[in-house]
Amino acid sequence: MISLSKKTFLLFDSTNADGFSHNKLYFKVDGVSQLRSCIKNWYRINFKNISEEHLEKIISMHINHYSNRLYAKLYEGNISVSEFRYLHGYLSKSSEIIGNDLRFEKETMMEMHLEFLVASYLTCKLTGNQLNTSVSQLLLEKVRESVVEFSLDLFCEMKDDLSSRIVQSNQHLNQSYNFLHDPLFNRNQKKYILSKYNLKELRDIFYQEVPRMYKRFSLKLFSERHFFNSEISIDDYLESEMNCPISFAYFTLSSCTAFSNPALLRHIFYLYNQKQIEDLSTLSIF
Amino acid sequence: MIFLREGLFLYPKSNITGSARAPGIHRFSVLDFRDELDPYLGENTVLDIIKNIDSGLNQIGEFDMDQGSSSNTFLDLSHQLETSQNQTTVFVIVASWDDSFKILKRLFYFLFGLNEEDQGVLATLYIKHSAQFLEVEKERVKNIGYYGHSDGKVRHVLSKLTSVKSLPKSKIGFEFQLLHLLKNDRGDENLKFEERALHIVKKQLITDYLREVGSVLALNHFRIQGISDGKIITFKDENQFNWSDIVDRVRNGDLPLWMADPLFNADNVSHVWNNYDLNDLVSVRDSLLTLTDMSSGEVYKGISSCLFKRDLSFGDVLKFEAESGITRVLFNRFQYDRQINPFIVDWALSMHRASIN
Repeated sequence: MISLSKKTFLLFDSTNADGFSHNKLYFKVDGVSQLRSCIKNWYRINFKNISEEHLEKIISMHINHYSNRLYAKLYEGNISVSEFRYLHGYLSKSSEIIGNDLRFEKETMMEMHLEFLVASYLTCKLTGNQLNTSVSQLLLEKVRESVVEFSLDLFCEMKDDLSSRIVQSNQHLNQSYNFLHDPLFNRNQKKYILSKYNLKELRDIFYQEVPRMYKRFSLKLFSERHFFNSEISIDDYLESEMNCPISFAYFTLSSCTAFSNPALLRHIFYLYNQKQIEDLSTLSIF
Repeated sequence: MIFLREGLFLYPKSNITGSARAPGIHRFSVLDFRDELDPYLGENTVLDIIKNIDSGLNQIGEFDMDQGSSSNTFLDLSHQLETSQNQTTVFVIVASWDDSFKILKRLFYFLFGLNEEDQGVLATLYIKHSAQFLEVEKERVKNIGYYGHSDGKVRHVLSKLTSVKSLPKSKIGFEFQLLHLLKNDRGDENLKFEERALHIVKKQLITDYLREVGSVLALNHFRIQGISDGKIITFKDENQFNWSDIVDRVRNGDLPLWMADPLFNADNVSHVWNNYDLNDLVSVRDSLLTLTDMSSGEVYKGISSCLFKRDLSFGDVLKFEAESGITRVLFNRFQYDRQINPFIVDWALSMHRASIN
């Protein structure tokens, strides 16, 4: 399934969708030609000034991301080999090109993925223009939500290991941290955790305990300094992502970026760093 | 989903309404149960079973909560599992949290002959652990008295679990088999357990590897120029992406062979373990760990790297556990930590460490 926005999805087979819900638009396509055509139509409606050459590059990014996600799902055991082959096979299946009569709608700002908000922000940084307050506010909210969700996910993983360590080191469970005894302290209870626990205290526990934790945590710790940073600025977030040699944390561990496309974000960073204002601005929401 | 005995599971469910509602027994045919070395259910299988149960499918009867009848039900289900020609049969008891607590108590009487109080202590461990994975209302669990046993009491009860009275030892949960193995000399039955436990450890190592390395590489391969001698080399130019399909990149030698091998997964332990250079796999993981570290300078080595060796034995795993102090790879990751009680595994390992130091 390719997510063009939080509302609009393209898929080859509805039985293999990542999860249907109401108020979403799902478009079934029967091959790669239709897929390309649909992506093109959607961009033509939402980013009118994008050049043909630029659009072709972005279409490749979407199709490649779809293929990569299928591999990732296969590796993680979320789809079987036969499901993988069936779905991946659509990428080499030709189909009739769909015309311009599809029911794509102009997306609202709220439905847009993080990368387009980032493009808008970076365009304004280059041009010196003032970014619309509502766009910057939404970007800030998404950035902070993403950081907190990412941190919570890591923290919940740490919970299991801390529990284990306390048992194995013969410490008394009663003398340990409260969250270890709380069955609601889990990945599905973000709102509950945020309402009941102090993020700063959780952050302190993390810094106290992590140096002794497994090295595998380091896999996710490239943004360690922003761990549980609910006050992170947009610039700090972007600096962290831009300098990271591999993008993955925010693209798998946070609900607000789970469908985002890391290649597209890298492409936007590239346009910004190369000061290609024209192409960057055509991906902006104004 | 709590493992009760081989082929029998308990699913505590919070939205069963009405106190008179008896726990149901459901029967399923589960394909991945054919892995005779691993009696636990895969994550996707658990989800499928829950979906069927929530749709009211596959119920074959009710679980009688009367003390004597419960033992007969365990015996009857055990008999059906032992005599069934169909090795894929799985029974799942679906019960409210209150009834799940009672069923666990009945089980521990059936298995170990524990008294009423000790049954409750042990059942509490399971209810508390399972509640972590489900959206149970905290106060509700608290009110029905699942909290409150002292640490010392728990340890005292665990120390009593020296023999199984109603079933062959190989049919009960791995945490209890581990307890038994660490307390007793190695016998033939323990050798069978060691073989199965080692198989599960390898499965976990492969699963870990694919989640931590495979999926990260898949989502980022367009930024990778190549992987050579276990080292990941990224493109220097930040926009020099490679959009080729992963299979094509494997054919070209950019990416390792396993990334295009559909048999490289936890369902094919022997294939992975016997056909791949395990040192190379470890090097790729270490390279990724090093690459993702922002502070730079330190070369990372995955904690479980020493277990990636062709002739890995269960003795190696226990040695690793004993030496690592707090780390463990036994049964506590992903699907197993929902079916095996990690507290008992941790306690057993802790006792083991104390005994050899």
